[in-house]
Amino acid sequence: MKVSSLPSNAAIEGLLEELEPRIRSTFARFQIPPQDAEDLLQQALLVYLYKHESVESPEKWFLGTLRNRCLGYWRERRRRLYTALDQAILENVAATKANPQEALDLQRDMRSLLDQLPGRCRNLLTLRYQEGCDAPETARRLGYKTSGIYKVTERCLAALTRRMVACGIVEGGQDD
Amino acid sequence: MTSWHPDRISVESFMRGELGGSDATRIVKHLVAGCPECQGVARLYYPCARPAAVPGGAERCISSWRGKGGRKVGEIFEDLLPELRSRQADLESEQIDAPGLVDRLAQCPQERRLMLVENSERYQTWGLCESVLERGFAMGPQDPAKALEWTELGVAIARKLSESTYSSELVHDLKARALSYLGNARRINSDLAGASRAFEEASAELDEGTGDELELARLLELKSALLFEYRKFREGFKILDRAIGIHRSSGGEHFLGRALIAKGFQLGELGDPEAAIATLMDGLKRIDIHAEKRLHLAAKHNLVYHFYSAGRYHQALAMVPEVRALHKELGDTVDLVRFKWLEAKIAQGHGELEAAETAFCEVRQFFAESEIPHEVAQVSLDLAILYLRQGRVAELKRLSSEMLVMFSSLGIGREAIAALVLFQQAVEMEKASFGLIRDLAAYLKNARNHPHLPFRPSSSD
Repeated sequence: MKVSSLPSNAAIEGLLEELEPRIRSTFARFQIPPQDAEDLLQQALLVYLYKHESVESPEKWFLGTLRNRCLGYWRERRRRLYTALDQAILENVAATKANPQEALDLQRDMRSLLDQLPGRCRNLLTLRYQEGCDAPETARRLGYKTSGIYKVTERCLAALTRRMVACGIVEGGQDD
Repeated sequence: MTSWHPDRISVESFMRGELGGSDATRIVKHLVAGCPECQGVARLYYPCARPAAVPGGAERCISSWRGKGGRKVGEIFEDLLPELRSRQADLESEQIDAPGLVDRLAQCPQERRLMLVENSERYQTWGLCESVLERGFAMGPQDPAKALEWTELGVAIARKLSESTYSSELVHDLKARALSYLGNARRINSDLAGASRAFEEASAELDEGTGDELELARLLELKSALLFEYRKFREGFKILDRAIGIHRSSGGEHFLGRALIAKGFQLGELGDPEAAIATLMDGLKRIDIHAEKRLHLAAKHNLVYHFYSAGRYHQALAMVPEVRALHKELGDTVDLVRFKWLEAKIAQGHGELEAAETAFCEVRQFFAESEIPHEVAQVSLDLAILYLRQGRVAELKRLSSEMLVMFSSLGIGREAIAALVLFQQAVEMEKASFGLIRDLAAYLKNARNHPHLPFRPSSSD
């Protein structure tokens, strides 16, 4: 690794100046709020600083990485929402134990929601919310690897969230 | 459902993942119960890049980026300068220290190296991790065992990198690279299951990384080599083509060339020499030959081989002096002998049988002395074809008996020995054919990584 090959600040500034219209259009396309866009730009620049040696075409690489950071921005926000939803459902399940009628109502509503999910997610979330299984136990009972269960759970929470807000948000779009 | 409805701001906070506690549980209970009005509000704040995502704000957001409003990228850069300068200084200092630390590590046994990495912060830097990984990667073809040690060390360093110093995403990227190299080193060391596990872990790390697609392309290329080793050609080509696509779109000519060369190798393995030739030539045009002399040599060596396989002997012969000189320059004896073997095959194809026989015998002798049984087997079968073509039955019988004795002593697998016994019996009964020899050669190639594979000859001529 050659020390002298680190990009100079002038080179980085030149790169940004050249790319400014396309950077702005990327942020517009992904609807990144300005205050968050600055963080994304900073992260992409730091990645460039550390990886520049393997970057042959800085312009193309930078725009590609920025685009992925924008996708990651929304992915991270969705993850936060899934975690909040999961937490809230678990807390609801725990809280309604003292009140049999409330527990029955919640169970009924949850079942009707889960019934609308694909079988794999329905089984997983039923184990989680109605039988109180933790991740390793869920993995064992459904035949998944423990290491892979978190990813599957996240996908199922995503399906549950979309169903809960009854929206036609389609998986696999630019935001997924 | 109750008559209570959450206020819009609370729903927005919840959908941003910023609301917890009893407020969140009430909202969820309400939404699960199916209130269409509140579901509609929640839907507006679903986090994704679409007009509905930021109600009343999406247009503002877009126009602030599309118009002249908002801050210029250059102004944002000015704000980042102090942070960038400090990172640059740290990285420079790490890069200055790295060669000395690598030298020190090289003088220690692996156990001590791992201990240093575990306990000393000097050994827990980005610069050192990259240097160690590149060293391990480069060693792969020549010294697989050492390559494994160095990549394991690289993984250990990557795992000790501070996320607060380098950022969590960057550390995930480097862990992914380290695990990809580890997977590759394990593959070269014939630990295919271990390689598979390392690639799986690398992939999970990359999911948490920066989004740098070059890291993904690197992983895909190395993983494809494992799939090819398992003879899963379709899957292997699929992910290799994805890596090629990434290099094309990111403008990396050298990396694109490297991936094309890898594809060319595999097209040749699949028995399509014409496609292999075209792809290798495309790849060779793009790589920086000074940056990767070995890759350049390997590509040219394979190109000669595929010219030979396609029956284009003149084109193969025309390249021989250049490739032989490259082999001599890079100084790897085993590779030079392999090239001599290829020259012998070309001579045989060209009708120079005496020269071919002499060369096959010398190559066979070298591999026998170096105790590389599979190569001995393959070159012996080339010699067998030559004897059969000339009707030299006595030499063929002697050769098949020698093969059996030699392989038993070199520790070749039981199924392979059984195949050789079958071959020897056919020779003794004077029923050996070109088809049988070719089947046996193909079988021994596969049996290298699948020692329990039984031999089933399919053809005769």
